[in-house]
Amino acid sequence: MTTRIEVYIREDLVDAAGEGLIKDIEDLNVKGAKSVRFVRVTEIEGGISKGEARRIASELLSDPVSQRHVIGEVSGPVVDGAWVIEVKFNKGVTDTVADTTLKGIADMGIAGATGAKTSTKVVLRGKISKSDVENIARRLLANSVIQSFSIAKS
Amino acid sequence: MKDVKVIVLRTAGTNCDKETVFAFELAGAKADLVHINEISRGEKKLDRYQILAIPGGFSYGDDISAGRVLAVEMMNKISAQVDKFVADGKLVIGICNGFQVLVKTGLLPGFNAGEAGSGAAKQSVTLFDNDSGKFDCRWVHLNPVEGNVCVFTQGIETPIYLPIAHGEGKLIFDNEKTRDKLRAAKQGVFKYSDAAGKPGPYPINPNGSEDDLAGICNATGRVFGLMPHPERHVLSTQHPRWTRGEASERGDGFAIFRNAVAFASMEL
Repeated sequence: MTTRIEVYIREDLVDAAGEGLIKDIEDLNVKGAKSVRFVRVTEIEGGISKGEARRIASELLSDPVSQRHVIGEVSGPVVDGAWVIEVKFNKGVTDTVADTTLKGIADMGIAGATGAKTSTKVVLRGKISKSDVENIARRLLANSVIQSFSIAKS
Repeated sequence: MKDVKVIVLRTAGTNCDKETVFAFELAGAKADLVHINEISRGEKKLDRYQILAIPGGFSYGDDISAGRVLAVEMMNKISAQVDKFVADGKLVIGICNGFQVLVKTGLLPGFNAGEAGSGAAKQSVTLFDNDSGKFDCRWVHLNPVEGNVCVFTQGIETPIYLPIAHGEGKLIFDNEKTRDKLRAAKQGVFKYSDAAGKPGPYPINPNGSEDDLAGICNATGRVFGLMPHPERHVLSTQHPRWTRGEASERGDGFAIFRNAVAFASMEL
């Protein structure tokens, strides 16, 4: 069983990484990006209960003051019409954050997690063509040697 | 003067541990560098020490967020010892990554905590991404908050000069009540300022911290955390312009360690 947890910064706080990406997009000479929000995705393999998933999400993966999380749902920053780029590691690439996440889960006394994967979801709002979004993903977000990406419009 | 024993806690990714040991030993204490596993396995006991220091670095690579994984480990594996340490009125200092750990365990500011600020309290502030989105590594001025209750900083009345090195140092409150409570209890300890003690936007405030706060303590003043690195400025020659005659006899950070050791020697 896979439990997917998405963590994102509170909407009223500045997403500094998102602001930085908007500047990088401008440097690519792509116009129209209005806002960017990053979402950190963690997929946990194994038999963990809903209560354990809630604990992992609230105590380990998210910050109660600055962030919000959802379990098995589409996260808050994804709005209709936004482009959603998800960047994942290729098979066989070491995912160190996932390894640390498993350590944290074990420290919490939760025994059922057998594996984990992380990915990054980028929610891009604005009037941008799909080819420009592909260009952004390829040149700014994914390292093709170790990562791949998918693009969807919500 | 009674001997003071300090435990400097380290784990994977800690990188300011030896400087912190040096600073406490310069101040007259005996400092042990101890891996957290030695405590969780029962090989070392916190209650043999008067001061606990959680040094700077990138514990567990800052994976997930800075200090989070070590905070979870402390809360789940050694919380009984940490709670007793705090409840006994012993001193705790968290520097940079250590400050992030103390905030994420709820030990700072320690609201809703148990006796004398002990116990894993609900987290009510956090240290968040710098507004700049960048890792800032340079020297800053810190103005002590007048009347603050922190035992580590008593006698520091003018701005001090310390280095920072962080990407997640913006202190934010969960709500206005927490901010008001912290102000009323005089738990704000240092604010980012210019050399004359005047606050201002970036670059004076390097990360966008609310109320310009660089360091806070709990209600007893015995648990203290700050983003800048006092252990990196205990000698005059660590001042970036010491050859131009701008340094004093001791680095500005030394007073924090001297105060802690003197307090522990007399009171603990």
